[in-house]
Amino acid sequence: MLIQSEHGQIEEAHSISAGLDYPGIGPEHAYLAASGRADYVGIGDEDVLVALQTLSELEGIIPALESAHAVAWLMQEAGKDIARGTTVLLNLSGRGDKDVAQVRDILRGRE
Amino acid sequence: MKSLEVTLRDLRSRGRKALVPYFMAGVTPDWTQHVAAAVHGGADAIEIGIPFSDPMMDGVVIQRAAEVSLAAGTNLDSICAELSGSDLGAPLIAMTYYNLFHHYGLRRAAGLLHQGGVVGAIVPDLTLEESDEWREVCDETDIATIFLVAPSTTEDRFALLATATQGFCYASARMAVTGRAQGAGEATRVVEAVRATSDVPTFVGIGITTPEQARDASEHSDGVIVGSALVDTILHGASPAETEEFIASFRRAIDA
Repeated sequence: MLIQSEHGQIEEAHSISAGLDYPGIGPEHAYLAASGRADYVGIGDEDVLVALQTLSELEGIIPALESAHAVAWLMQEAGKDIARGTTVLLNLSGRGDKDVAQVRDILRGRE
Repeated sequence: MKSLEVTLRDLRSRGRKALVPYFMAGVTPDWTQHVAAAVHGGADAIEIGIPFSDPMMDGVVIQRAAEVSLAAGTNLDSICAELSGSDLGAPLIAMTYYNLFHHYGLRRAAGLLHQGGVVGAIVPDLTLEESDEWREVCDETDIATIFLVAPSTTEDRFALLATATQGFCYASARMAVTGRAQGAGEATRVVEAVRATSDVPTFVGIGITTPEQARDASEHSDGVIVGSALVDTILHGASPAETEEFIASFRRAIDA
């Protein structure tokens, strides 16, 4: 599965997280999506920054920018598609200390 | 046997070393005139590069040419439409990457190529093990599937690839992407490894930059492929007449 034009040319991707800045996904995810065993959603850079800060401030856990996408989605859906009181398993797959310098620069640039 | 291989075997039996230039389709509005000029200058077959956004086997020159061509709006449909009905005087071999064919649908892509008069396809990122579906579709037409071998190819794979390839076997002279280089690389060893298992015509490419390199490579093989050195001159504004002279200079060196 690729981000590509109607003629099969690969398009430029963009993401705030380097690990997601790629116009394709791996075969396992492609299979899970195509077979309907997993749902995939999109999250924008702004929500990711908020999620990273929120989890850091509330729990002292700094999520990687990649993992912060999942946190952002959970914050967005809590009380909506995901009822309050639901037990949710979130895979915090990476640590964000690698990202703090980049996030600091982005937030400072806005002051 | 596909018509490409009949032609190339016939060439060899007449003692002529094949000269196969590579052109990037759509890189200039007059690119087909460059192809015709090359045939006039002594080319025996033509590789038509179909531009792809992520050309994993190509170096900077052909990458640049692909970008220029794509920016001009080139795609597989437009190339095959341009080629169809134009007799350029030599067998045409498409070189591109598998995603284009996969995305178009194999039968549709092969049909377009066939309509464009293409009789061979080089798809460097298509491995032998993944190629059955493509080869079956090509067998419904006259398109030969050409495989590459390289200095890193192992003995048992030389046998598999030299047997599976149609038209000719593409012998990469070095472990490199397409581009200018010096010397002969490991061409002789690679060609001899193919010849140990098959009598398919074997052409040397990757890094053939000068007529002298082409002459040396052709002495130990059935022909040579020249790509980046030629494409570079076209990117720098060479005319079809200059392309003809470029090819003629290689022809003279090979035939000398």
